[in-house]
Amino acid sequence: MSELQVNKAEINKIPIGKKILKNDNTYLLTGLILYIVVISMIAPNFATQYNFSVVLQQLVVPAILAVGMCLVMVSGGIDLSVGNLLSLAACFMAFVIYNGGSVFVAILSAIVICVAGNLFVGFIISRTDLEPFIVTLGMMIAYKGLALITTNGAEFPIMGEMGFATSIRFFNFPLMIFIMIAVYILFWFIFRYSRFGRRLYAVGDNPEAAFLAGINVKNFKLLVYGINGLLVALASIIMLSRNEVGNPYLGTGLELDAIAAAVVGGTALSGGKGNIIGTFLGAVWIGIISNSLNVVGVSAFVQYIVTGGIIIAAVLVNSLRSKNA
Amino acid sequence: MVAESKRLLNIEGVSKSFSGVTVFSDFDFDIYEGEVHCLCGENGAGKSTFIKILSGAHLPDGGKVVINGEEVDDKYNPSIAMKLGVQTIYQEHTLMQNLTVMENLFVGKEIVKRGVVDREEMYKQSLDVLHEIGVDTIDPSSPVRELGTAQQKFVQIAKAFVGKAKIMIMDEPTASFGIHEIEQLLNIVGFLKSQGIGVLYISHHLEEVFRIADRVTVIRDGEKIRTYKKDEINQSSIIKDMVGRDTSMMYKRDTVDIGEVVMEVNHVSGPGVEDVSFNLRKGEIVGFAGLVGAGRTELAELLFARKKLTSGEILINGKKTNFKTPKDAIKAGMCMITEDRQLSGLFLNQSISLNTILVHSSKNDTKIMDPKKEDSVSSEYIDKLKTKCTGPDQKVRFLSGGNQQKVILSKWFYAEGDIFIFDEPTRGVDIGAKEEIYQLMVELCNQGKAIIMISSDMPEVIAMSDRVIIMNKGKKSAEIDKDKINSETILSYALGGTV
Repeated sequence: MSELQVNKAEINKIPIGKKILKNDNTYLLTGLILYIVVISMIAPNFATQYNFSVVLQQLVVPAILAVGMCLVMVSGGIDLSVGNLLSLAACFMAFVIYNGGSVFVAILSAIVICVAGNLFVGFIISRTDLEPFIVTLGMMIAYKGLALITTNGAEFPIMGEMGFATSIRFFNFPLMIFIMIAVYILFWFIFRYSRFGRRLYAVGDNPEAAFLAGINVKNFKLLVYGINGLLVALASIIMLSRNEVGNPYLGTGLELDAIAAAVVGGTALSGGKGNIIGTFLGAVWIGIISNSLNVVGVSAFVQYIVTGGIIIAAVLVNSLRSKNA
Repeated sequence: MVAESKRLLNIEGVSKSFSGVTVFSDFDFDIYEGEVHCLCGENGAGKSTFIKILSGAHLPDGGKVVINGEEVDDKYNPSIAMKLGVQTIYQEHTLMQNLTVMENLFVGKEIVKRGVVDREEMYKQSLDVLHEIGVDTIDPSSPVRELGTAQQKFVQIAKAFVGKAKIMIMDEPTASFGIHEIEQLLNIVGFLKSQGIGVLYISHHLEEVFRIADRVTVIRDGEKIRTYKKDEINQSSIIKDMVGRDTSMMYKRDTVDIGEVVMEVNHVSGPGVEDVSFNLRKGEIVGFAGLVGAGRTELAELLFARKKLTSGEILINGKKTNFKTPKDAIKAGMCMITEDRQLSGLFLNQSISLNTILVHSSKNDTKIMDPKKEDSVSSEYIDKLKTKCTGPDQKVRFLSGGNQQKVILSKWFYAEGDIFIFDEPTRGVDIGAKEEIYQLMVELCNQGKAIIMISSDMPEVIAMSDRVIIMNKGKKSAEIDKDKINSETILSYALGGTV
């Protein structure tokens, strides 16, 4: 039953072992390790340093977007526009560089586009009662149009002018992997040690109660979308650096990967629930599934079905566990 | 009378446990035709489980349940319950908010003429039913969401009546009702009785129980303590049975020395409030009485800047305030314990700890948090307020009403405000926790804090208030000093009259 009665002396005695068992992330991680072990046994060329490096590189962009998605979702929103916004920013950067602009100006313009775009979304969502789903769906479509206009439907190669995210290497790993890890560490700190982190859950769980607790809910939501914009800008820079060609389809579908990662990691669509470590594990799960299925030789068509199934299974496990908690 | 009428419900030796915890054991209960049988017990005594067994949501582990002469088997479920005539009026609203009253009344049993829903006939029959049970002010064609709490409850009852209820279970039907509405509800119960319906009535409000009960059964810790026949019903004995200890109905609070004025409210108007003025002094509890909708909650919302003043001024410690949002009010030392805990007071899916620290961080502009300190602060308040929980990490949704209220109090205590607004401080809270909350309020007064207490619970207003302000239709209709407080006076002012 729910009304357990434990006095304080006993509270402090709850062993760490039990705390770990109660943690959702423990299950995600255990599942992940088991999955990796099983796939390694089936396919010997899976668990190689080279393959892991490939997996990591592929998951950098969705994983960074997933951080922003986690923020937005915990605060009670959602952002379907991140994929196409990423395309737009990447196209614009490529356009600038292709036309002789400096990399610095290109990056600055990407930041301005993404932050301004997401502040606009945040403004509408926080000032009206429109559903975030609808607003960002509209923006997602509009960004696609803007990206097509920017490139006039063509592609802009940038000839290695912005290759730093892959070309700079430490310990044989490209820079972008360290950027991703830095982003996760930064946001782990923000979630754990900042008032902003606390307010995220409060606003997502009950905006009215948050307002009565002295939080300016409207501006807070605006801030959350603004930060999400910054992360989209970062992801777009890495994406372009990796691809070296700006085209309007670079980010297509990435919003779904980001949402999937966040959701598998325990983030709730209803707001007020989610965490950074879970989101990272979710992103790794999503990244590993398609890679492992490739290695094992499952057809790309079937991969979609498996990925979809795993997402639903993960959420199901989460929901069953929280019912028993 | 009981001997001749038919026994609608008979329960013998029913028990129920959840994962090894017995919540309900060897329980006997029955209801006769046209009888109101009240069930009294503190929160957690097993009342909800009992309702769930009757309504088919849970199966009993053992014992016999006979409804209308038919013994139920292990296939019993909510739809069979309804077929047998057991209708439950739950505490929460179970109506479909976007449908009209008549659509709700006839949901699942629409009147059909030539394959098409006959709206005219349904409208007519709805009018008849509403008229019959005595709530003809409700228009059958208005959407349910536009109705007030009490009206929705009446529609729920009408719906059960349309559903040919033989046994009606009412779980705290008058929670958040005003005096007038309670009256209306009791009349409805009287009508149902006259129709031969057996009513199982559950309420924390003993005055109601004593007025309508034919029999009263007291349940404590899942066990039946005693069933009182009408002529045996005795207030203090029932309360003693409920809490398992001797206590008088009226809480007797300690007196506290009252200091200087901390808050002056001058000619304040706003949505639902018209020209209200009063003072509040240190160590004082000012009770606000009145009917639901008299503007008391609306006034509190103006004081706390949840809504904007249209005119008037508020002075705190002699200084004029200009609050734009609740944040400004919090910074000035105000605390608001809202009427609806779950909707506006708590983050239900979050930990006790998060719920405890949030206001403090708003008030003090703390931007960097220390999880260890949050934990220890929350544990400290759990100890101090004797909140029953598994620890500061427990999600608030799993706590009982009284313990949820204690979490709300913790957050305001930790924020160290000076002026407390309690809107219905003990609604849905059992008697034991109620007294604890009263003690905490008196302790606040001892510390020189000032309290505005809005309450529809008459004994509470009388027992706790140093002064009572009565509101009617958005205006202050009277202010009574401690020595003149009595229920008749309060009631007559609340109803808009004069004494």
